[in-house]
Amino acid sequence: MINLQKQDGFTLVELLIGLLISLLVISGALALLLKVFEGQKSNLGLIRLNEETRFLSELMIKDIRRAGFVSTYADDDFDSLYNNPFFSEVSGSSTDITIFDDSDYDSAISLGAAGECILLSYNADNDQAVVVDNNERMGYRLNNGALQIRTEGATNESCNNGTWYDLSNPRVNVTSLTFTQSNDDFDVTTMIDGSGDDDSDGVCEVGEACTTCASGSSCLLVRTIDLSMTIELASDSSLQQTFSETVRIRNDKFIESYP
Amino acid sequence: MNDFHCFQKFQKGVATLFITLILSIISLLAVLSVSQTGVLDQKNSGNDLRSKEAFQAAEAGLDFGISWAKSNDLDLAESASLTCSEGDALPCPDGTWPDISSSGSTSSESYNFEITFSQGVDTLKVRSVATASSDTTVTASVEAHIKQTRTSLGDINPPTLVSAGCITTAPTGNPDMFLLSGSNDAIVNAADCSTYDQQGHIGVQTWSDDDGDYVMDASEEGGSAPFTAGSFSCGSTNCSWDAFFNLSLAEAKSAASAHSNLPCGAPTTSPSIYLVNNTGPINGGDITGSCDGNGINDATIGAPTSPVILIIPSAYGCPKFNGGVTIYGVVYYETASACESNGWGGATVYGSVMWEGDVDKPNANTQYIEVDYDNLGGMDSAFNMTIEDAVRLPGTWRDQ
Repeated sequence: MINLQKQDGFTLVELLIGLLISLLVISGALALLLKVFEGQKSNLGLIRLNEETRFLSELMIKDIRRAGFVSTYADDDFDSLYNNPFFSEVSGSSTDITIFDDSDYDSAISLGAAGECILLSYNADNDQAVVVDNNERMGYRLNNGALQIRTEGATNESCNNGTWYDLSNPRVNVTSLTFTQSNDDFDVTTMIDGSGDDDSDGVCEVGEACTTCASGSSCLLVRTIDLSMTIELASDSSLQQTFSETVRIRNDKFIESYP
Repeated sequence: MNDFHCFQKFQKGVATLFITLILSIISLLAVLSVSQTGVLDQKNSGNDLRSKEAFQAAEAGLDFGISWAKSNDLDLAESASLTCSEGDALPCPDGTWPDISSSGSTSSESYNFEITFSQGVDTLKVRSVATASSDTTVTASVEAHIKQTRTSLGDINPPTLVSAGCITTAPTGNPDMFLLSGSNDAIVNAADCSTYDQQGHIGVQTWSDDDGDYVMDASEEGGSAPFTAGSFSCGSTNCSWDAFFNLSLAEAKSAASAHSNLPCGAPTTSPSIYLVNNTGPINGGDITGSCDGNGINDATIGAPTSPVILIIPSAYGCPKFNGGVTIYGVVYYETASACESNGWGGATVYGSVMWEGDVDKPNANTQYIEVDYDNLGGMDSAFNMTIEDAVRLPGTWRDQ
């Protein structure tokens, strides 16, 4: 009985004050939790973007850098090295590096202009008697927010040619992808006979005649591709990442007789 | 009892505390899991950076190897290879190898390089492998083929005897000549020598190097052959030289001036061109050192597989070779007149003797033996001509 007497309840005022205080504390904690969730969500998103950018860019850079690799059997495949079958412009089965604009994936854009599709090729299986296989014609393009890779193709004259697969994760949108090619020309003929080396120092420098390939001369094209890509999270377009890099194509293009 | 009452009073905040605790734990878990992902991402970035760095290091190694091969001979036989690390003896690259750690490494990593040179028929493959010194799993390799060009002698084998003039007095004694084929010329002249008996007592036979040791054994001597005189056209002062060598005589002399003594046996420096600054007869006394081997003794200049070119500048006239000297290679007399009255003999020459003017009987016990430098990989390889440059072959670069 004594116990029962002691269990007296709260007054209404007491109860209301108690509830108000708990409400304040809990809502504060909840707000903190939401903030944490929000922060972690964008953290996760950035990590995802990071990984995606790294994966896509590495793959593209490695492939672009290798363009035009012919053979590691230089003595046996000398003819192929001389007339690189992976830099061929033969109509119907071309293999040379080609860049296309997204508005028209069927016609190549001019040198120095930015395009959204690049096609290239190299001797991926390093076969000794060099054969250009269809799966050695690769490419990358932007298609409806997805970065696509070409796994095979019959020619590099159209960006619509061949089989394409989505490479980028559906949880990201690739909002921009551009490839820009620039060439440095070296006139091998005038470099060898010395007539293109204006100051006769044995080095071909900017501004000298040897940096312009004359018609009929042997020419060496040193090519670089500027690559730029912007991706965003599909679920949150405020999270974006842009990546750009200049890739020097390691295997230069040799033209026996410049047109 | 008062205590109990107090406890009950405290219990009024427990629910709030509990809920807040739960919420804190949830946010803690969320932070932990995300930070774990973040750490993983950091690791990935790190890996990515290291792999890029290793690749750049391998490229640096490749550039270094190629620049070495631009001016240095690796002395590799066809399809042989040589793997070099820093500090290896020549012909491996010496000097300062690339040091990535001090320039350009963001992870302060240093890399060890291994450069492999593989000789093909006409090309040299350079392969560079860079491995992080603290973690051998971080590695990258790149390769490219290059073509080395040498200061070139050309690819015409000079005939056994070459004279811009003629042998004006018939040789006497018992000189012998051994040709690789009976149809080869015994001598070529720029002048019209039809009025002279250039053969005299020279006995001409054929020989074939059956055992492939580049030395003529008695059993390898063949039947007798005719002494035929061919001709070449003379268009310059040093026309005998210019007719058979691409390299000008002045360039050859300047390349040769680095060597002070005639080598005993195989030459040790390149190119294998020597100046004989001596007016007296050349014999064993002019050769420094001692040597032996198949076809080689202390009176041998050059070796069967490493011939030499001996240039006697005109200032030293026309010294004789005697005392049983054996010469593997080419003896070239620059003088256009001194040999007119100075015959010589007593030597064995595997290769050629070249004169720029008339010759008076190269006689007595001299042996002239024709050789084909194509068997030694051509003139430039046989005479160890120095590397002048190297160019990359486009289409051979790969990163595997």
